This record gives sequence, C-alpha cells and structure tokens, in this order.
Amino acid sequence: MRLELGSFPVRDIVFSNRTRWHDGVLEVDARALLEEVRADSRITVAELELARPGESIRIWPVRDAIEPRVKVEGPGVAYPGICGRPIDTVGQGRTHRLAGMSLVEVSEVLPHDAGGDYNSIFYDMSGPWADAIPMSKLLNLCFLVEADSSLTVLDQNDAVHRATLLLADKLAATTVGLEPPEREVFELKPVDPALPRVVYMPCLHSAQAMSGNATNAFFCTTTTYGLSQLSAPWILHPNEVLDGAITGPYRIASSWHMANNPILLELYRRHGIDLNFLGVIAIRTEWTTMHEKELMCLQTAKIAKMMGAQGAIVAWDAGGNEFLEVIHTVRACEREGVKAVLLTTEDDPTGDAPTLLEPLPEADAIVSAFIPGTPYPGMAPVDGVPMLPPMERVIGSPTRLTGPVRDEVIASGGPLLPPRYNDTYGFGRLSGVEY
Amino acid sequence: MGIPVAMISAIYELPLTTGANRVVRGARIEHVCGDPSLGPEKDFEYGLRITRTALKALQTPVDKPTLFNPADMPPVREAVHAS
Repeated sequence: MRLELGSFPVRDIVFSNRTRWHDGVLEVDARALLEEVRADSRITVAELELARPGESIRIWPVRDAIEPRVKVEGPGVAYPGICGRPIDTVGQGRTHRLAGMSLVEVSEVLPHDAGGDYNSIFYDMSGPWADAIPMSKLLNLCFLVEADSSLTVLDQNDAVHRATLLLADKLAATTVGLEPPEREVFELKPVDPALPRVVYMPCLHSAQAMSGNATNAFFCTTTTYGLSQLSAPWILHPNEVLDGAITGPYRIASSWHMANNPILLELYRRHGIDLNFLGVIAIRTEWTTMHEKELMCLQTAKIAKMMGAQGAIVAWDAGGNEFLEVIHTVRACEREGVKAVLLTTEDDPTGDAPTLLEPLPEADAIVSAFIPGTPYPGMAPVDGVPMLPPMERVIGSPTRLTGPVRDEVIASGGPLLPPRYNDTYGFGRLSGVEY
Repeated sequence: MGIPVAMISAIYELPLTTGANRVVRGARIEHVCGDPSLGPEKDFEYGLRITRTALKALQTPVDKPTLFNPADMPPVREAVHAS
C-alpha cells in the first residue's frame, strides 16, 4: 500500500469572491460556500471567521478541527465512513492536504443527550493555553455552525459535522489538478529483518456506553470509518490513518490531531532506519465489564504477537475507567513478550493518590505528557486560583455553562481554567517529572 | 480493627490491585447492583444476591484483597415466596 501525500502550504487565508489555493494563499468565497451549506435545511447558523496565530482570540466551543484533505488518486475519500461518506479502504494513491491550517467546527451541539459528555474544548490563539496546543500555530478557519434544536441530538450531530466536511471537501478541492509543492511517500517497504518490530496502539474512546445507545455512538466521537461503537480491535495500515480513517469530533482528539499524529509519522519516518513499523492496532475503550475490558487487552496483545511485534506504543485519548483497557493492554503485551511503552497524561496527584488510576508493575516504561490541573506558565491567580488570561475576542459563543450542575453562566472570553489536556499524540511540549 | 468495608465494583480488578480488602463483583459499570435487562423480578433477585454477597464479605476475615463473586452464592428465596 503506497500513499503519496502532497502538501499545499497555507501561509494566509483571505475572504474573496472565489475559492482557490494559489501560491500559499487560500482564498475563500464565504458567501458561495455557506450558501451550499445552508442548502441543508437542518442548518440554522453558518458563518466563517478567521483566527490567526498570536491574536487575542478564544474559539469556543470547539467540536472538531479538520485538515482539508482530498484523494486525487486511489480508491475512497479522505475521512471515510463518517456522516455517510464512502467506506472504500483508503491509504493508496495520492492525497492532497492543505497544510498549516484547520477548519474548526465551532458548535454547541453535544455529542449525545445522555449527559456527561459536554463540550469542553476551546482554542486560544495566544497566551499560556496557546503555548500548550498545536492548534494555536495554525491558521484556523472557524466554521460557526448550529442545527435546528428541535431535531434529535443525533440528527444535529449529523447536520453540523456533515456541513463541516462539505466545507473541508470544497477547500481541499482547490488543490485538485495542481502539482503539490511538497510530496512525501508513505510505504511500508520490506526492511532489514534485524530491525525491532513496532506497532502503534491508539486507544479510542467509545461513547456507546455513556450515551446508552449504540446508534448514538455511530459518529458522535472519534470513529474508525464512521463507526465509534464498542468493537474488537482494528488493524489499520498507517496510510489509512493518514487518509483520515480515524476521524470525528472528540474533545482534544480532533480529526486534525489524528491525521497529523506525530507518533505515527515518527514511526513511519524511522521505518527501515532504526525500526520496522508493522502497523496500527486501534483499540476501543470504555467497555463496561471486566470480562469485556480484559478480553480486548488479551486479544490486542495476541494480534500484536501474531503480527510479529517486539514493541508497542500505547496511547489513549480520554480519562477514567477507559484506563483499564489501556494499562491492561500494556500488561497483556508485556506478558506476551511485546515490550510496551505507555504515553499518557497523569491524574491529579493531590491527596496522596497514585498519579495513574491503576499503576501496574508491567507498565515500567511510561512517557508522561503532563499532569492536568498543573498551572501553565503564564497563568495568573484570579481569587487565588491560577487561570488563563481573558481574550479580547471570542469566536463562537460569548457565554458558557459551568458549575457542578451546569447552571452557572460565565463569559467564555474571560479568565478560565484550561480544558483537561489529553494530548497523548506527541504534539505537546509538556511533561510531568518527579523532583 | 476499624470498620470492615465491602466494595461492589463492576471493574473489580481496579480496587483489587489498588488494595481494597473485600471486593464484590458487580454487574456492569452502567448498573453495578443489578441488570435491568433481566426484567424486574430477576433484576431484583440478582441485586439481592450481590447485596448478600457484600454482607457475607463483611463477615469474612481476609488478609489480602479478596474477590467475592455473587455467582458463588447459593440462590436466595425470600420467605414470603416460600409455599
């Protein structure tokens, strides 16, 4: 499976009376594009605004961020399966991407109506929070989109995300027929058999249990080819991930994060140099019995062993009981003789509790990607609590709900606590150290 | 000495590895002390069985984290149902 990824750098985005990419500038005809979006009668709000790195801007609430990608050769479509898109296996041929930008889905629509999963992510374009996230370094074309609130939450999800994908497709289409300024070929060629054989195991949260409905979990969170149900481990070629086979809105794990996943790219670029990258085993988490959780871990380790893996990088995207699948996968791999490294954020270390929910001795190689709750450099106390500074402008909703029962309204542009940071993809420059 | 504690948990391995002494195997995370899919009567019976297992655990001396499985308990019938 050979994939050529052609990058079209975007150095600036301007609103214009046509939509095209030319010499690093993406021109966007907002009026024409939004007219196409509004052809779906479910859409009630559709606006485009631009946020540049360094500006005093907060984008709230962020549901997803998508890097516009289009397949110009080979089967399938970029970001397959989600919102009814074709499910042909992707990862071959040539894909074009608009690099250095993202299309941010800014919407109040919740992933499901069972409670618990609220929108919590915002991006700052400057300040301490901006320093911590990769999205602040991008030109963010913000798509403010809402759907008819009389629809089911499932239909609202479909409407707003389908609209975002429509826009992403239109933007990516500007590169069709053009020669990419940068190209990179991704292919798992046979390599020196002496090199250590490594698999990547992203653990993907499923909202099936929390939403109480397998149908609700169809696309409201990170999907594999449009499915986010609890399901057996997925064996993916890394090219499929580069074509967006893992996609969808879920907290900090945006579609942009998954398609630009630095762990996957680093493993790929070192394939044949100092390791043998075997592929990706994506594991669904938040199963709800020990039987189910442990079975997934044992099966994942078995598959890794069958693939010939000697090492595994295990990373996840959530918090809470999902950690059992994560840490037990590490244990199962180690027991199969597959050395496993865990990349994780840590839990709040207060109260003498361990900083991991279940510390197991087999997890003897852990990369800490931060301890949520630790103040970022540059945060200043408000009433004694370190907060992110206010931003001059908010793109999206001027207010947000907060409090234990979510009945307090606060200004979304004001001093805020940062969202929980679950960047276990390797973007972050933050870590947790003992001293 | 202190007060004995029995913890009912669907993800019982977690309390066991983190040092809870008496752990009772619950049903699922969504419904730890029963199973609504069984219907009201069997759900109640299952819940009662889990609870009785917890009460039994409280009366059982342990010297390390120990799992109590409701499936190991004899079936229970309330006196009112006896004919």
